[in-house]
Amino acid sequence: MSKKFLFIILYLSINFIYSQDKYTLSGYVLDENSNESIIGANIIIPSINSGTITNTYGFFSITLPKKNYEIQISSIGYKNISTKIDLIKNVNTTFFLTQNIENLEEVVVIKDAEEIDVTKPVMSLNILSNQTIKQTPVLFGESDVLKTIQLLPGVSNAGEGTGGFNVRGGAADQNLILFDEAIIYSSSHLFGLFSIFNSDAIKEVKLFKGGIPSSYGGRLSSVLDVYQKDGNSKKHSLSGGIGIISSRLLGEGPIKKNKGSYLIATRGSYAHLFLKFTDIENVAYFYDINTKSNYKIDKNNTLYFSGYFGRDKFKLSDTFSNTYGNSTFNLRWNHLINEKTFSNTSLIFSDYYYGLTLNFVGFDWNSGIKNLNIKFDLKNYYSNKIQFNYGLNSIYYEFNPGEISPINQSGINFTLLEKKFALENAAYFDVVHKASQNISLRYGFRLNQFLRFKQDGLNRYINDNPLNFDQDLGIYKEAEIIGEYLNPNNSKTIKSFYNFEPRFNFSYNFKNQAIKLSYNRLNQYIHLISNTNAPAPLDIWAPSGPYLKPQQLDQLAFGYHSKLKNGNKLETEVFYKKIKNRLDYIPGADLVANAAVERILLAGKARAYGMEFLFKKNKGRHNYWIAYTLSKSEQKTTGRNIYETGINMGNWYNTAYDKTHDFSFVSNYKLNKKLTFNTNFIFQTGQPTNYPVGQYTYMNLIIPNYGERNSNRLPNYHRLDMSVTLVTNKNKKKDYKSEWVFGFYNIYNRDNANSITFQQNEKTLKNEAIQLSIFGIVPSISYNFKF
Amino acid sequence: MKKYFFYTIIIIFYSCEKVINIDTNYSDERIVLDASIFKNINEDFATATVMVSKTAPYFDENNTLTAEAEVYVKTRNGNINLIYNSEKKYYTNKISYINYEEDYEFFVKLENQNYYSSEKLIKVSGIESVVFGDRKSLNKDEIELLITFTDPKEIVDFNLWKFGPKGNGDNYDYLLSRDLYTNGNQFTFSFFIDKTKYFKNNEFVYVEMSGLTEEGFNYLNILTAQAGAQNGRPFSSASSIIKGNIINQSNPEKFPLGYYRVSEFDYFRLSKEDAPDGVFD
Repeated sequence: MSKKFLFIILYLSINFIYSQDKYTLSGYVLDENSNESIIGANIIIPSINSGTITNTYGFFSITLPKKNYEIQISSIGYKNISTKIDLIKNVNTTFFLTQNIENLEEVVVIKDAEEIDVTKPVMSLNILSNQTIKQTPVLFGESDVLKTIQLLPGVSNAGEGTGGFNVRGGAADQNLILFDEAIIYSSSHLFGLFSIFNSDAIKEVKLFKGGIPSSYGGRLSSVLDVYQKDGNSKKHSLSGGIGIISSRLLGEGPIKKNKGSYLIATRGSYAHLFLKFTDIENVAYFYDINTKSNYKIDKNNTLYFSGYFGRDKFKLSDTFSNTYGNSTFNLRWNHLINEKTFSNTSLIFSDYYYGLTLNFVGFDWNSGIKNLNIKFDLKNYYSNKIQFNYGLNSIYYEFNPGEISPINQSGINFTLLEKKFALENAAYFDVVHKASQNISLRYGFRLNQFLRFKQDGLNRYINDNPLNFDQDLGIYKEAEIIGEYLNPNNSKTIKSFYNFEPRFNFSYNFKNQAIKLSYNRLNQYIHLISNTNAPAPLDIWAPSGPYLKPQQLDQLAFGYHSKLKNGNKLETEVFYKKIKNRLDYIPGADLVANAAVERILLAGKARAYGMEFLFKKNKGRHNYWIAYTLSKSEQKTTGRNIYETGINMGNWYNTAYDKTHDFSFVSNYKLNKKLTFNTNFIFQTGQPTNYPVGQYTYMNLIIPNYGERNSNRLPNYHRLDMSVTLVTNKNKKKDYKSEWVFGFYNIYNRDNANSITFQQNEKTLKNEAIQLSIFGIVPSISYNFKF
Repeated sequence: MKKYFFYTIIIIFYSCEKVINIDTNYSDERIVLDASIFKNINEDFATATVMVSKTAPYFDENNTLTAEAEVYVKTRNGNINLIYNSEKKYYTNKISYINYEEDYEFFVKLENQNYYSSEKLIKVSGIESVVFGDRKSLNKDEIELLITFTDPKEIVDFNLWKFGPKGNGDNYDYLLSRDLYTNGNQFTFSFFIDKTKYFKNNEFVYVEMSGLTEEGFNYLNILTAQAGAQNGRPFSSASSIIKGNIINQSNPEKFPLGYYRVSEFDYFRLSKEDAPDGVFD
C-alpha cells in the first residue's frame, strides 16, 4: 500500500518538475472572414526547428521550454503570419489567417502533408483542399471528390457508369468513407455519374492509401475522410451553381455572431431528365441535402451537428421504380480537458436504404443497413516531441437483407428475410513521436471485437457446410437448409471475433528529403456482396458470422519523398498487400433476395503490389501534377479440398479492377484574374475481361466457351478533358462573385470500351464482338455564384 | 434489373455500341450433346431428340453436327436406339410410354468415348392463359404478354419458358423461373417481346413451359445469360465453362458440353389477331 503511494508521489513530482520548465501554447487557427477552422495549418517555431499542425477541428497545442519565441503560422491558400509570444505561462490564443486570393503566385493544388520538418512520419496520404476539388472539373462540369481522387496515384475505378473506387488494387468495399465521421455506404449518385458529396460544402478530404493510423479501422484498403465546412459565423452568405443537368445552392451564416454558425446545402438533378430520349414516361434524378451547425459554448466546449440526406430515384412508367440513398446524423462534442488534451465525443447514426418496386412481377423490395455509432477520441499533446492519441469506438449494426411484399394480390408471397445484428467495438492507442532530429515515428495498435448476435432465420446445414461441391457435375451448389442455427451456449452472441492490429510508420528525414516505411494490419467484418464488378445500388452488405470470416490485410509500403529546389514535390512509393478470406462467387450465383449468401461464396486470398509516382508543382501561374501507378491486383480461390476445383481451377487470376498502368496529368493554368484553364489527361490499361476460347450450339443458342478468368484485356482507356473558367462580376458590388465554366469531357471523343460482349448477330447469324462505350464527348456549361 | 438500369444509362448518355475485330484463341475442344426427351402434357408418349456436335473457334462458321455417333436411351422396357435424321441433322425416336417415377438413362458412344447421363421426367403445371398486356417498356417496339399459371405448392418447381419464333431462323427467347415467392399461388407475369422480330413468318407467338430440375435451372441460368438470350435477368454471372449433367465415363476430365433433359411441356399459341387495337399497324 505504501509502495503504491510512493509511486504516485514520484509520478506526480516528476510531472510537476517536468512541467515547471515548460509551458503550453495552444488554441485555434481560423479563417479571418468566416471563422472557419483551418485543418492542417502549420505553427512553426523556426528557432528550435520545431512546430505542430492543427487537428481536424483547427486546434493545436505545443509544449515548449519557457522562452520568447517567434511563431510563424501558415497554411496553403492563406497569407503567412508571424508573431512573437513570450511563453512564461500557458498561453491560449486564436490565430486568424486571411485568404491569399489576390496573389497569383500561390494557387492551391494538392496540399502537402509534410510542409514542415516536424513530427510527420506520414506516407501514402493525399490531402485535397476544397479549392483543388472545385478546380478539377469532370463530367457535366460538376466537381466531384470521388473523381478527383482517381486522378491520384494508386486510385482508380472499375469503369465509367460505375460507382465506387479502388485503392492500391483493393476492392471497392474496402474503403472506409467517412463524412464528418459518419460511415457512408454508397459513394455516388446515378451509377457513379455524380458524387454524393456536394463539393461546395466540403472543407477538406484526406485519403489514406496505406500507413493507416490506428484511429481508423474496419476497412482494408483505404480511408476517405471527408470534412464539411463549419459555416461562416461572421456573416450570412449564399452560393451556388446552375448547370445543364443539375444545380446546387448553399447557405451559411452565424447563429450567434462569432459563436455559432449554420450551413445548409442542397443539390439536385432535374426530373424528366431523359424524357427526350424515349417516349415512355420516365423519371431519373437525385437530390441531396447537407447540413452543419456548430455552437461554441465556451472556450473549452463546442458542439457540432452534421447531417446528410441523399436519394436517387428511377421510375419507368408503371413498370418499375427504384429509390436508394444514404442518410447520416451526427452530434459531436469537443471538450478541451486542459491545454494539452483535446477530446471529442461523437454520436452518429447512418442509414443506407434501398427500395425497389417491380410492378410487372408484382412486388416491393425494401432493404438496407443502419448503424448507430459512439466514438470517443482523445489527443494528448504531451510535448513537442510526443503526442498520444487514444480512444474507443462502438458501432451497432442492423442489416436488413430485404422484405418482399406483394402488390395487389400479385401471387407473390410476403417474405421477410430476417434482419442481422452485430456490434463492432474498438479501442486504439497511437503515438506520434519525433525520436530525433531526423527520425519521426508513428506507432500504435487497434484492438477490435466483432460480435454477431442471435437472430431468427439463421440457417443450419449438414456439417455446418453451406456450400457443397458436386463432384460429378464439377460445380458448386447451395447446400440444403436443414433447420435453424443452434447457438452453442444459448447466449445472445453466436459468433465473436477478436483481432489485434499493429500499425507502424517510420520516416527518416534529411535535407528536404525523407525515406519512409509503413506497416499496417487491418480487419474487415462486413462484406459487400455484389455479383457485378463494380458496386451497384442493389448491393448487399453482409456481416461476418458463423459462415463468413472477416477479411484480413497486411500492407507494407516503402517510399521516398523529396521537396525539390523550386518548391516542386516528388513522391514515390512501393507497396505490397496480402489479404486473407477474400470472398468470391460460385458461378451462377443468384443474389436476388438471398439472405443465405454463405451458400454462394467461397473464400480465398488476394494480393496487390505496385509502384506509385507523383510529381507536383504547386507554385506559379501554372500548377500541375503527374501521377503514375504500375501495379498488379490478383485473387486466388482454391477448392477447400483436393476434390474441389475452386475458381479458375485454383490459379491466380486478375481481379476485375486490376490496372497495370494508370497515368494522369492534371493541370491548372491561371492566365489572369479572369481566366483559368484546366486540363486532365488520363491513360489506363484496359480492364480485365474474358474472351471466348471457342463456341458451341445448345438449344439453338450460340454459347461462347470461356477459358481462364479475367485473362484478357479491354482496349486501353484514355481521354482528355478541358475546361475554362471565366470570372465575371455582374454588379460592381464586391460582394457578388460569379463565374462561368465551359468544359468538354473526352474532348477527342474516344470510344473507350466499357465492356465487350460476344453474341450472334441476329441477321447475319455470325458471331461478333460488340464493344459498348458510355461517354463520347460531353460538353458542359455551368454558372456559379457567391454572395 | 441491372439490365434495365444499364439500358437506361446507355440510352441517355451518348453511348454507342460498335462491332470490333478481335482475335481469339481456340482451345479446350469438346463434344457437345444437346439431348432432350419431351412429353406433351396431354399425351402419354415422348420424343427424344439429340444433337451431337463439337466446339469450334469463336469467329468461325457454326459448328458441324455429326452423324457418326451411336445414341440410345435405356428404359425399364429395354433400349431405344435413336436414328439419325439427315435432313434435320439430329438423332431421334419416339418413346411410347413414359412416367414420372422411372430413371431414363442416356448413352452416347462417339470416337471411343462413352457418354452417360440419367434423369427422371419433370412434371409441369400447365399454362392457363397467355394474353396481350398494355404496359410499356423502355423499348417502344416491345409489347407485353401476360402469362398465367398455377404453381403447385407441394414440390419445388423450376421452369423454362420459351417464346418465339424470332426473326427468320429458329430462334427463341428464354426465361427461367422458380417458385421462391409464388409457391402455391396462381401467378401472372409479364414478358416483353419485340414485335418487329416476332410475327415475321407467323401469325402467332408460341409460348412453351417445360419442367426443370434444380440442376437444370442452374445450368440454363448461366448458359442463357452467357448467350445473351435472357430477358430481364438482373445479374451477370461470372463467365466460366459450364458443365452439364452428362459425364464422359472413359475420360472424366473431357466432359461434354450441353445438357440432358427429360421434361414435360405445355404450350400455348397466341394469335396476332388477339392483340389490342393499334398494336400492329
